[in-house]
Amino acid sequence: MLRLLSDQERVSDDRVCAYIDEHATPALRREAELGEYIFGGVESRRFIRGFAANGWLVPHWPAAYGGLGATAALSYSIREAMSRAGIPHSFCAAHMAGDVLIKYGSPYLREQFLARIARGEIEFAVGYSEPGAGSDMLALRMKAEDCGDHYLVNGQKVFNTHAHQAEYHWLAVRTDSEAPNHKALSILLVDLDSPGVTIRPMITIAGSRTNEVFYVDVRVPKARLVGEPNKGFTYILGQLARERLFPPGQHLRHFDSIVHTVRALPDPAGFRQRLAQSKIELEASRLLYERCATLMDQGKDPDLESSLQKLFMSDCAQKMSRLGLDVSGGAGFGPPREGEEVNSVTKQLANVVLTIYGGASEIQKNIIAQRGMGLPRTR
Amino acid sequence: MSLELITASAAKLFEKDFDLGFMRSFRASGQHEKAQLLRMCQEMGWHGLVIDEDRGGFGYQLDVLCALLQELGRAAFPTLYFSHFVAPLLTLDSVTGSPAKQRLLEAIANCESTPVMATNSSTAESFAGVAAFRIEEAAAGASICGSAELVCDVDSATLLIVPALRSDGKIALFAVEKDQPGVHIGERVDQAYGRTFSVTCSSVLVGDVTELDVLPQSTLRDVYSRCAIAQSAVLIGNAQRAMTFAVEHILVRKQFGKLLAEFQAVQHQAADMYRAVDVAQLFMREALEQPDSDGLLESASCCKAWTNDAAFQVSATSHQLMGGTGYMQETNLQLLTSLAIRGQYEFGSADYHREVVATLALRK
Repeated sequence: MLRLLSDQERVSDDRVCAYIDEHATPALRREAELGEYIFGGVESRRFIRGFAANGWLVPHWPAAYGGLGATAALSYSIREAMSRAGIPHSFCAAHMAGDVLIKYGSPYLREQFLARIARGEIEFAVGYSEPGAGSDMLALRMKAEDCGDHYLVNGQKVFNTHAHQAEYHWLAVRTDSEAPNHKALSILLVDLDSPGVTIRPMITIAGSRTNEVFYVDVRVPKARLVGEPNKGFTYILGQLARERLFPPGQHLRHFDSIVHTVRALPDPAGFRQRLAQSKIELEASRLLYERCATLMDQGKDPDLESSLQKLFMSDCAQKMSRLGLDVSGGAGFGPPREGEEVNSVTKQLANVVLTIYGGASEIQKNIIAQRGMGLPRTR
Repeated sequence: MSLELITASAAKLFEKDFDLGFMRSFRASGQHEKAQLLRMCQEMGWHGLVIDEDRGGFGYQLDVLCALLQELGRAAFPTLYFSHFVAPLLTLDSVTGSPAKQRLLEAIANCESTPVMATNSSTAESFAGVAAFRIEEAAAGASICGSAELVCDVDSATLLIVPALRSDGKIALFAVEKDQPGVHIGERVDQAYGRTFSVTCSSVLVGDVTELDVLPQSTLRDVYSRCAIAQSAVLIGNAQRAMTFAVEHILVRKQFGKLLAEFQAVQHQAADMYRAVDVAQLFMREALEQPDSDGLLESASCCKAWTNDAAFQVSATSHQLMGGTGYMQETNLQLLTSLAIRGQYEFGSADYHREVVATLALRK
């Protein structure tokens, strides 16, 4: 629970936690861990429909769109509770794209998508990265040709996690070949079962699945354009600030399991300093996370602050997973122990990606140096 | 005085009359300007910031004190403010209702007394008197025995506040005159600490000095936590100023045909400093909101452990970015570095505070 909640919000938060305690199963937690805590699997969908019926998936949305009109603080506290419980807590449609649709989407898109997102019925997969465009998103090449009432889309995306489980693709495409890069991109919302879309698995070092997605002459109705054409980069930047926020809960959960292991060691002295450092860094991550929620409730965009939180949380989680493996020793390579969804080595391998996706740590540092400290763009 | 007025007036003062050049000469000259700085603290009213209004002070809490300490840190202000008006007053704040305490507070507020804690503040145990002073029973009566090393600013103090361990495990707090029979003060000078003192009590009779209060060790532990938070504020100020120097330097210094600030590797070093200081501030604010007991202990230890490391990181990075220039005694950066190195050990090293955090985490 975030400490900045009002008394009334604490009651709501308690109800959320009680619901999670009652309904989160070991199978759901394991699916979540293997699926990088992103919504889409069978267990997740079963859980989230009941959960979302209370308005808890998008509490900060207006009631007209299925939310509760609550503060960002409550919204982020609920995500933190989900994260702490080890269940899916990162939803592309609900937590990243939905806010963009509310702000920039046409009435048609809002009507078609927002209520279903709020009810947990549908999910999007993020379609940004390409073989030649990762951190440098402006380099993306997937082309959407204007054909009157529709766009004709051709190209390839990579690392589109959950594209095989989501219904829709939140797709960044190039719609102007002449304009400067930042004025040439648009966002389309595409049915992932459209003719011409092929999804192929890419298996990660930790054994989880992400995807490459190929588009060959895919027709996307113009009604599926998000906001205005060629303003996609602006929308992406706003959405990334939200994507970057990492609830620390899942890592606190991991920390608890490490503490449990250390307590059982005959001589834990060698791990005390690192254990404490992890605790300190987790606490810092929580404070950074709370600050972002506070800023949002003040009507500010936490661009810089979310970069700080992402940079910090991902770094902390990687160090902690190494500590987890060191503490576990050989047992870390065996079957998961009680209270663990995966063994320590899998945890460490899964956390490799944390400093890469959602904007690599180097990008976050660029943002901090340039926006936070006023340093010039590098050349 | 509002918080804004306190910090703004401090910043103005340090910009005009007591700038870093002044602080450098203070450090180099053997502290000839010490009386001037002490008088300035008193004229600005900073000596009574946390003394109750009915005792002649301003009655502020630790948050306001920390805001001022951050300004002092930015100004590379020497330890004397902390030694005389932070650690002793936060300690006296834990003393309940003693008439001797009230008299002492009024004397401090009236600039008639300038106390210093006779403690080695680098570990909580010695601060609480466990390792430094104890009460011994003898035929002549109970007396205070023991010694504390690395005590700052004894030269400018008029009074020693001595915590001493009693046989029942509690701490008795005494106000002891420097010239009390049995009190011996030694002096040493080193590069990082500058001028420090040892305070030795050889059979100082309890009946001859003023007993302020008897406290459980847990109370002094809370005082130690608050002092650790206050010291963090100083370190944050040090680090902010050092970072400013480094950034100013990389924005004008050209190498290989372009500004240092335009190299991505340099930007990332700068971002790491920013992150370290930003988080230290969050920790400090969080710690200031904690009431007593374990919440305060854990929060203060997280704050001090992180801030110590942050101060070291910022010092090291600033020197790296400024090159040989920052290494010279004629520059301001080295002054901040010296203070930061020292401040990292005042009221607990990072390792010490991590041990506290580990103990709390592993406690079932």
